[in-house]
Amino acid sequence: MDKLLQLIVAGLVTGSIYGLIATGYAVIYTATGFVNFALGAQAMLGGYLAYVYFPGLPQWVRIVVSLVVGALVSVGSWHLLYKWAAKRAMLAAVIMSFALAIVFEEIIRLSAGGVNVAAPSPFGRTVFQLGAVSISAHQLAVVVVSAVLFTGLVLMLGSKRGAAVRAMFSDAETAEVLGIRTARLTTILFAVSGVFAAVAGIFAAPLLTLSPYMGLNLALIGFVGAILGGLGRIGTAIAGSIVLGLLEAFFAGYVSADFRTALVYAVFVLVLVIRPAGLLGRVAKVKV
Amino acid sequence: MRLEVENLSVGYGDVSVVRGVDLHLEVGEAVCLVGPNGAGKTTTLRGIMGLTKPTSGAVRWDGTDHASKAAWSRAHSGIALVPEGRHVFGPLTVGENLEVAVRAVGGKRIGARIDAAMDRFPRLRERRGQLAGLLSGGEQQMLAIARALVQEPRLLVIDEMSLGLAPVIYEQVGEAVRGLVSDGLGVLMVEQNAALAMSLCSRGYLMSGGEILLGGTVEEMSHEDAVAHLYFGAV
Repeated sequence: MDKLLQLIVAGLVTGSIYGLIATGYAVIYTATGFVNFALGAQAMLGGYLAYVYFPGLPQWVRIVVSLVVGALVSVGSWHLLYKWAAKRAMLAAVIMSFALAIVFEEIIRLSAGGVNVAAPSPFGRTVFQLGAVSISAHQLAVVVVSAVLFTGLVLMLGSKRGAAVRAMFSDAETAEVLGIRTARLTTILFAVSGVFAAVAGIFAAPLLTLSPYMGLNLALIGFVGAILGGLGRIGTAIAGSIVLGLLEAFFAGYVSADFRTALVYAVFVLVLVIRPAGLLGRVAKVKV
Repeated sequence: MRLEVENLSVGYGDVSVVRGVDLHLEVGEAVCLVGPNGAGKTTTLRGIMGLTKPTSGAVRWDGTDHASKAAWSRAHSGIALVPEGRHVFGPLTVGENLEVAVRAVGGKRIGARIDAAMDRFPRLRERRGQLAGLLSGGEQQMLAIARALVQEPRLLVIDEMSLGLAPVIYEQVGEAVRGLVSDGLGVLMVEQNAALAMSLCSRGYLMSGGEILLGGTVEEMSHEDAVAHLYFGAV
């Protein structure tokens, strides 16, 4: 029982981090039909900005820089690169995002080195003991901050003003012709996805240690989480990621820690074969 | 206020589908653009609404040329579209569909506008909390028109209203359109069903092969052979 609770904590923590990436996939995909595989690299970049670059600045300033740059990189890459490729062929834009991820990876490797860097949690080393379950301040922060971000986003989308975004999600052209400034909303959603990715990087780094190569894994696992829930809906993409985090923790705890990554991708393949719309999704809505 | 489309050409890629279209419309009149399937009516409309960027020409509305502006700018200056195939926002409720349309153009008195639209289409009031995607075709058409009307436009553009509608419903919708024109709205109808369009409009244009063949009052047009062919469905 204690082990189960401990694994639930671990699963919620990793699941929340996957969920932050998955949210980015889901908002961008529903708005534009584009899948941004650079989100993982953006998370990695967020981690480096918060923990490695600018060592002289206070921690909170470095976190703000990481979030701001995260938003700018996300918005900039859409307007300068992906958007133009997407007009001709969406697949070209998707492949371009992989290329951009590698470019980020190489820039970080050349400027900060290819070795793993320890990242101390900004929340300190405190560990809380709840009965037999221990949870670190960092883990608690991951779960609480992510929950706040997820709830905030879902409430915003569900609000009266958020209806414009939902209208765009359902029919972008009609939304535009009705006077909704879809290009501006898309920019905002890219900024949101960039901030969420940076937060994921800031949260993941102290758990995983920072390396230029952590991005690809985050990008793919976040994508699996989004697919598991259903890419076309934000709430289910988040839920799918948390389910994936829990699955991974249970598998590591009860079956084999070595094969946890293999499990993630096995889940991915199974979902795509059995329920391409996602376990929680309703209808597969493929936009081209 | 006046809509003036001058020498408009619209195409996709290198292919121009519509060439040199001229048409005009004053607020307070209903004008139809009729023609057979594939004549270029919808492409003309997409060019006017900014959904496809015109390759040349002007779309002047109230003195401003919108041809090179983003599509959303038209709604903000008083042009509302009822799209072909209705295109209601399925995952939004009927009420949200209307509210989002008012907010999109920065409209005030949201509640009053929605009430007025529901007075016009009482069926929508009963369905207010339902998802628009679950409405019947006729109800969706009413919602699409109501969604345009809550924006309080000066010009209403209606694309292929009759497609897929039961005759009894487009009778009803047609009645609503007549009421709007007498209230001083400009209406531009793009219709394959020439008989229906000409019964609602005072002037019309006949389009074929990507060009305007002729234009005039409905009276004049009904004497033209080309229109007669279309009118009576002869091939």
